[in-house]
Amino acid sequence: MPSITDRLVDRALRRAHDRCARPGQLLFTGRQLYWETDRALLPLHRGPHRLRYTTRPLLSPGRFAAALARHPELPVLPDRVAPRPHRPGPERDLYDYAFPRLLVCQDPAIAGMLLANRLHLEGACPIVTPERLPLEPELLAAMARADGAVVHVLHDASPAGLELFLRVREHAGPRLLVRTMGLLPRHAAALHLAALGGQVQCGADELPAELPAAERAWLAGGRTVELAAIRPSRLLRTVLRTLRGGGFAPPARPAAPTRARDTGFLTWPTP
Amino acid sequence: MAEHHRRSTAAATAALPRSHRPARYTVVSLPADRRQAEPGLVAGPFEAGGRQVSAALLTGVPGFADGPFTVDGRTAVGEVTLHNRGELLAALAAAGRPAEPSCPDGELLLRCWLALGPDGLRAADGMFTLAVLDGPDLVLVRDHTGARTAFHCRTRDGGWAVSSSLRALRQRTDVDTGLDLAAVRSFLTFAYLPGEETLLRGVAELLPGKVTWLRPDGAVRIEPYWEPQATATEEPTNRHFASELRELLEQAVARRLPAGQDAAVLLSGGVDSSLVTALAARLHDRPVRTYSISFGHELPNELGYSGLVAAHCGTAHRVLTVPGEQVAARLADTVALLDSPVGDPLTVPNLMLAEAVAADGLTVSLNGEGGDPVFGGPKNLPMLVFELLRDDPSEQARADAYLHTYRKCWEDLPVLLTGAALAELAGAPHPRRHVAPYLTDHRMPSLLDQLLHCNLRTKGAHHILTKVERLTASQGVQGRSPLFDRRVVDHAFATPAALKLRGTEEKWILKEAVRDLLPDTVTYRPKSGMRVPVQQWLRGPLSELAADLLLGPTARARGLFRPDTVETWMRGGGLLLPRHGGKLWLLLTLELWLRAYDL
Repeated sequence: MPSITDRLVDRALRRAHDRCARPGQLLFTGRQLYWETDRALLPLHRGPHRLRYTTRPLLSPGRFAAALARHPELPVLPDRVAPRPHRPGPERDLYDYAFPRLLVCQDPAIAGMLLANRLHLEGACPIVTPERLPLEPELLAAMARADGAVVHVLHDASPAGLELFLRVREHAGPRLLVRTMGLLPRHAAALHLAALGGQVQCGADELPAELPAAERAWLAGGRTVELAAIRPSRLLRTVLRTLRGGGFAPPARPAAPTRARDTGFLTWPTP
Repeated sequence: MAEHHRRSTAAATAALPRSHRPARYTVVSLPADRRQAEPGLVAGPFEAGGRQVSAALLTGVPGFADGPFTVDGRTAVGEVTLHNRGELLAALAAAGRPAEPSCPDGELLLRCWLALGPDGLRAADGMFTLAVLDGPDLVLVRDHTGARTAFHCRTRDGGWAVSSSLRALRQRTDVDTGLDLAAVRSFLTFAYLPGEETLLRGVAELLPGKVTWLRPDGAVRIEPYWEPQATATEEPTNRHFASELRELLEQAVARRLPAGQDAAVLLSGGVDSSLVTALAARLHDRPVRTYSISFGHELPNELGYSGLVAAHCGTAHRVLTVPGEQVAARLADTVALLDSPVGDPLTVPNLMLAEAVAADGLTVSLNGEGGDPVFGGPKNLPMLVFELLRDDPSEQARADAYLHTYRKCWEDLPVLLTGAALAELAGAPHPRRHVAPYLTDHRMPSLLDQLLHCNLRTKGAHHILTKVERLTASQGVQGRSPLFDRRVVDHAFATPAALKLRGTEEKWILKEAVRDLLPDTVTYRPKSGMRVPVQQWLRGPLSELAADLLLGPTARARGLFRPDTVETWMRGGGLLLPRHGGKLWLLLTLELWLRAYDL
């Protein structure tokens, strides 16, 4: 007989699974389901939109894993994925044209989730993970052939995520525009996402100077927010809208986002 | 070059449709002891090899059927319009089998086939299906790209019935037909039926560029007589490819202009229809009239572009306004004109354009269809992206990805179809079979050419051209598509793929070939396609019709679709992206078609 706590978690898990899959039978990772289950247990994210805050997770990963193990009928995508082999067909013209956009996704599991939901076909955008860096010269050349080609970097609100953005920008060189659609602390606060504390700390001066001091301090204090914390439907819609080049919400406070945007940062839609 | 064509127009252009009674045709090969009278019989019944074969014209049915023609003991009927009679007559004369210069197009095509074999069919430039009574066999020919079409099926007593009208086969008492659920799945996947499949069980559509033999023992033999070949070499210059293409485009348009009559051109404002307009205006010795569509002033339209082209080319321009109320009122009748439904929201506007052309006393309208499947229009990029990320080397993986790029209802089938329908489909052939042969055809050396080939042979032949033919023929108008001219297609496939999709510039070589004819704002405008306000129509004038049809007792009793999913879509829910309109349009079209065919 499961304990009351287990029964509560099980119920929240099933509800979260249903929410993650909507609309249109979306596929999602175990980690995305973890965050949704946490929200189902304690819906602190439902606070007023005008308030900006992040939450802390209530559900322990171990208890979630145990609950998921009790429900093998609830499918999830894996959280750990091996690098994808590249096995194109024998035709030789793949790089003869132009790729106007590319997405580098920090989290291989999230990249797998985007691919499983066929976002690369929908947005006509290759999705690669940091393992594929440096990008092959043929691909860079095919991108350079498109006027205004953009490399988007989708990353966590974390020092590692920002570092990835800077690394991609350096690698892409001056001919390609590199933009981040990654999370920043302000986005996490606007979306009321749960933050992980106690992560690796760093010096605020190691973070991009364009970020407001408060956000640098927040990140330097060892807090991060994972991409997986965003509900799958929101993540997919936002990424697709950004790839297609529109639909950005105006910044709530012009000063800080403007500075961020100067370096390529873009805002997430306000909730 | 233009002057040369203008001078030769009188000799080279296709003749006007001969005065005829609108008709489709039927041919049958039945057991010899059958004594059923065929309506409209014009040839036979002949006894041959234990069979009774005959041909009939179904007068009063919109179409261009003619016959019978008898050459060397073989009798044929068909729907044949040839654009290069002079060439064919010369070829027959050179082969020592001259034909009477005034013989009908159907007879000329039959003579070409009998005298020259597949070469004779390859040489024929036109729109045709031909059904030949060859002893107890029936031999069926469909033109290179599929401008006209016909269907065949077995009869209950082991015979064959063929018709250019699907409805005629449906109405035969000796044919068992019913709804083919696998074809329903194909329709929901592609928004049309991309191969031999029809929605009638046991009835197959002819494939383009092929000769089909129907044997008395039930065997079917299909032999291609034309298939585009990718023979690109890098040696000729870009300029060479462009100038050669220009010459071919001029010939293709000139051949399709109606001698002694004003020409109509359906002008959307895109580069394809604009270049056809410009060439027609240059090459025709009579006025050219252009026709465009608007869905109402409050909705986005392309009238700025089409008006610019019309003014640039000096055509008499007419804009038809198609309000949603008209679409609602006429959708059922329009869908009933189609032998296979197409989930294309432009069917009613296309029909109204054909009516306008007919009302102006014209019998030939040209269009710009074919630019995308032949020269590399949009929608290739997702498949290139798939290839860039591909981790599954199986041939099936590419075909499966291709199904997803159609963005119709393929992903929704598990929640759209009822449990009973899904169970019945479990053992049915997979829709990927329609596209896989093209996407794994290594005779096409490039991915892009494989994609174009697939598009040409599926969407081109089974959606674009058949829709044009059925809707224009219903008004006694011949819709002609010069960009589907087989020499133009041959040239396109012989052109290096990177000249078709150059960087991100689609149809680059086509634009290069006609750059001097049109303003740059038209030639190099971003591709937008005709934006049809489906969602507004479904929320407004079509909302009641859609609800009645899709959630009414007839649809529920048929048991194809889950009402809860349909209701959710109608409320605007259930989908990640706002594609409710397009998906519901598919269902609505299918439902109307099924009712029109009493299924």
